[in-house]
Amino acid sequence: MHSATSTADEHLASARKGNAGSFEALVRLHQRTVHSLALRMLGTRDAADDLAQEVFLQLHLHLSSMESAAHLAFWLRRVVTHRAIDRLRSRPQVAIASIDDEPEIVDTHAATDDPLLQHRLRELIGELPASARAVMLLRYQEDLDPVEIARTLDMPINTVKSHLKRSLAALRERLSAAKRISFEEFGYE
Amino acid sequence: MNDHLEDELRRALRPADPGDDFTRKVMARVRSRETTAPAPRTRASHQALRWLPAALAASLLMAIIVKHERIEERTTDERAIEDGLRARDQLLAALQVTSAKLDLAYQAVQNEAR
Amino acid sequence: MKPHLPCVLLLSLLAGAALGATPQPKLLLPSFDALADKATESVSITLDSSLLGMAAKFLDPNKPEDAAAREVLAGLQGIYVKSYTFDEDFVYPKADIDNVRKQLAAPGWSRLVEVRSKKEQANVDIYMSVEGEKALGLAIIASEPREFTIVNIVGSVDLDKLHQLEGKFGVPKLELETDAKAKVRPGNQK
Repeated sequence: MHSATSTADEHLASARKGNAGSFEALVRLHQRTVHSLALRMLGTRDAADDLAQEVFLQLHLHLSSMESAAHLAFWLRRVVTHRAIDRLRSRPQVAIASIDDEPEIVDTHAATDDPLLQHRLRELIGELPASARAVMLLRYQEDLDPVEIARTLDMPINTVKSHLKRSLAALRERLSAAKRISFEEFGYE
Repeated sequence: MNDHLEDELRRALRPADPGDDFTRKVMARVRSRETTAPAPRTRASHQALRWLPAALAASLLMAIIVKHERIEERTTDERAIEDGLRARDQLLAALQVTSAKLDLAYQAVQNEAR
Repeated sequence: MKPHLPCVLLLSLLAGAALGATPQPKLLLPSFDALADKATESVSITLDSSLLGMAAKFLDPNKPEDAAAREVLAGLQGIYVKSYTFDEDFVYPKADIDNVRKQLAAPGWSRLVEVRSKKEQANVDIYMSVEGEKALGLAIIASEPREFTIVNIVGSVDLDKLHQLEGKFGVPKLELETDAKAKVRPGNQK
């Protein structure tokens, strides 16, 4: 039985030989990650579409240097976050008030979903400085550990951990200030 | 205490698929780039290269060396930019820690002054 | 209206500055390498004047936090931070922190503020290094049961500007428990 990784490796091998269908399969496999990272970093759908498409175009040019499916996934995360940070640095910093362009995520397993809280959390993430935002997205969207985040962002591990600690503290503080959110449920003091 | 918040963050940040429309746009741009790329070398043109005058070959070699040096410069420049950005991030982190600890003291001084 | 106590204190410090040995605004901080392995979070930042100069070039004047940092940066020659968090109480070496305090007992250093919070078992001490009328550096030692932080800033420091930075980093200002007692030490006491 093929594992997901071996399928991805097969698509990569085939795409490297010029198979457009295989490259499209790779795009479909990774577009969720790349586009969501771009959207949550940059804040608007147009900017995210533009960046995410560029990242895949770059991937197409650099296919020959991809050593494996795992390397490709690492490369995509690295390029999209670095380029998003560059774009944020090159324009006046404006807090992302609301990412209304977020498509609704339907998850039949999430019986305890709180859409209001989730929307608020995404807003707060959008208000973090660029580096902290990238660290939080790689941690909680991509489930990377601090070492992997440090490698992806070329950031010292201590800086990654500081960003995580301070950002979580800031989120907690801001959530507690929001009157409409009930925190007894979460055991907060 | 962070566990619940972290779980909620994971739920809030589940990645969402941008859809078929996005995939189509990417593939359209890939195809567009491919059609404007220079034509691949033919066998005849490969054989023609064998007859290049030595001077022209030397010029080509110099061009390759210069390009390599420029790539090296760009790489050095990129490293300098990365180092600078890292220093900036560390500076902001240091100032943030400092001001947070100062605030503890400021709050206490204000409370004492009341 | 927020009292500008540190500014008043600074003036009195400058007026009564001790004569004698040249103050050393740059502290010898332990590396705490072994501690980093035990800590759940660790921050170790060393920015000398060349790194500060490099960082300054990458500060974006259009971003509030960068613009505020740039204002603070003027006149600084170094920033050194050691901050460690643990998941048990008091597992960090008190002796190492006491060694840093001993350096701050040297001539030229004066303690501006001493905070002792019984409820949170949090202590914060702020020291300033002066020579004549010139501020040479700042040191902060903050300790709680599961965290300690040492900050050493070399150069001319504006405490008010430093304090105001916090609101620009997206981190809300912290609230201290009202039972914390602050001892404000005027003059040149140690």
